[in-house]
Amino acid sequence: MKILTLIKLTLDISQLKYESTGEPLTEIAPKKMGDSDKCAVEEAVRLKEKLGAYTVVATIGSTSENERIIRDAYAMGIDEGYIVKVEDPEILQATSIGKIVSSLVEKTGPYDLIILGAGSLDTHSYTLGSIIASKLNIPIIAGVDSLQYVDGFFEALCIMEDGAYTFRAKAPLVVTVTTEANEPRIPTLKTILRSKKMEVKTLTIHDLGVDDVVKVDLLDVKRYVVNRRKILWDASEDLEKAVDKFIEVLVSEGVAQ
Amino acid sequence: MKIMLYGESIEWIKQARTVADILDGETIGVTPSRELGNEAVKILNKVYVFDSIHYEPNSYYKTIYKIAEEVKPDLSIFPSTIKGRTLAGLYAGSRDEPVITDVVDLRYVGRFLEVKRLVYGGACVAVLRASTPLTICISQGAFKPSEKGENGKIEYFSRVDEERVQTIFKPREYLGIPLERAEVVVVAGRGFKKREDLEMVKELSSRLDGAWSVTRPLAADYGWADTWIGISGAIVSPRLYIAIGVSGQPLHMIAARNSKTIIAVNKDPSAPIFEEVDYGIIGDLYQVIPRLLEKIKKKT
Ligand SMILES: Cc1cc2nc3c(=O)[nH]c(=O)nc-3n(C[C@H](O)[C@H](O)[C@H](O)COP(=O)(O)OP(=O)(O)OC[C@H]3O[C@@H](n4cnc5c(N)ncnc54)[C@H](O)[C@@H]3O)c2cc1C
Ligand SMILES: Nc1ncnc2c1ncn2[C@@H]1O[C@H](COP(=O)(O)O)[C@@H](O)[C@H]1O
Repeated sequence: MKILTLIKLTLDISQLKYESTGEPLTEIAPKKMGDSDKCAVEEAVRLKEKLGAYTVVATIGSTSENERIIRDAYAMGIDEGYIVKVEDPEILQATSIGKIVSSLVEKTGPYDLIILGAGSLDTHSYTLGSIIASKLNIPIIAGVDSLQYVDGFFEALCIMEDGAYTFRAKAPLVVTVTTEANEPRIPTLKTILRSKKMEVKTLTIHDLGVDDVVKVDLLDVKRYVVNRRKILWDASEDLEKAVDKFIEVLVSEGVAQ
Repeated sequence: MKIMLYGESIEWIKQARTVADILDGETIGVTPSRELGNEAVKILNKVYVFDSIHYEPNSYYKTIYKIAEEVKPDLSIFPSTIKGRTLAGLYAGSRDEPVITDVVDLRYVGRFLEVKRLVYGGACVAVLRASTPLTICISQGAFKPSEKGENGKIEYFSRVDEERVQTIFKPREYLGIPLERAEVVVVAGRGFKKREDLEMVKELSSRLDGAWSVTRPLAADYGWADTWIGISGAIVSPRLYIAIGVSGQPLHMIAARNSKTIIAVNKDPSAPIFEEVDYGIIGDLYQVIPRLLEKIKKKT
């Protein structure tokens, strides 16, 4: 079995700071491997341990930090890694990233399983896995909370708003995992040291035969401004008044008498 | 302009129709439910209904793709739910057109569409320029429901099956009003110390004929509930959203922002949630909520 895992270098949005004009300072925000991508790596490494799968990881981007997250994946147990060099991957259309990944699959595959995060931390489109599946014309199981491999079938549990879905399918398959899927392992000093010595391969999109990447025409990004009344009452000063005000709101909204 | 929309609820379809109103487009709906189809024809020019037992994205998108081959839409709209995004990605990927999720506004500027979407977990809004054909996802509540009606036509379409995937579905047992439909949603956050304390939240929601839920840590980390509200959970747009012991991180708030009114109880006056509320009570929930329940009980 051969598995491809995709990992994205994402902004740590909890540490995002802003210009006084509301522009996010994305350049200085810390970046890391996406949380659900880490769970995808963990899932791949577990399949390696259980079934002897060969595991490959890839990221699309151009900075030295992309290399860092490949090494993070090596430290968790991944065998081989690729960086596909593109400037500003964050403003590439998702369909273009999908095209790059399907060409990578053709060049370095075939893969039995392509596993990636359900949604990235920063743009959270939750679409890349689906785009890849449609391009490769293989099925997808998206938003997986728990993945099993039984009798030649991948069996996945997905909890959704209306209930629990269990999907079963054979390879080849695309799976996107949520952060519920597992608890990613913490690399040991030994695996970290080993990861530093491993080779990271780079490819350009031209190596993959992709020439026409489409960029998103981004006009502006600003902090979301919330227009709400923001009327506050302090219950530690006057509990009765605060509770009465609360009830007034319930009454004026028509949900209590 | 032809606009195709794949809908899961009538409330959402009315809002997607508003997008068509903005763009002055013809509206063609697609739904896997006959019941919803019958309602949707009163709002849309045409509705395709394909019969289905339950959601399976691979078979659904192939069906929607086939319908689109007939319709030839310029703009295709899906819900910004996990299911909707999955379908939108499959659909846009197979049509080789761009897909933009979390769309909160759009308009024509010259020949282009100017599209606003949420990014960075809902902390920012990005403005993009796009051209058609295009696929977008909109959340329930992002647009006001359209009040326009139509006397549309219904067409039954046979579903394309996907033999490669087997599905077992266990519907959630709703013990009350489903979250998406509730007029009042009461949400508990990590300000609650013990699982039993959630009884207060359940009681408050039932007294207000509403639904209750939690933030992600309470469900995913503590296991006190099956689902949660937020970017990775349910998206709601009730008349009243009551957040108790919730800090108000963007990844949570993004799914609650379309509520008409938001009220929060939090003991920390600098909690980010107070930036996103209409009314806020600064105080200990263990004092405020029991007293509130007492007073409500006395009144009824
Ligand atoms: C990929 C990803 C996806 C995520 N998706 C979601 C999501 O879908 N939904 C979601 O909710 N979160 C999500 N999160 C987590 C999110 O970022 C926050 O961590 C989470 O929303 C915080 O939950 P909270 O407000 O309950 O807890 P906290 O942030 O810990 O806040 C608890 C609040 O309770 C207050 N408090 C404490 N004691 C009391 C008291 N006695 N009385 C009154 N107030 C009190 C505190 O002042 C504090 O503000 C996601 C995170 C990641 C990384
Ligand atoms: N530039 C990228 N390089 C590698 N993987 C990516 C990239 N962008 C997105 N992904 C993968 O796709 C998942 C979903 O991303 P998104 O559709 O943007 O929410 C992420 O969690 C990653 O696993």
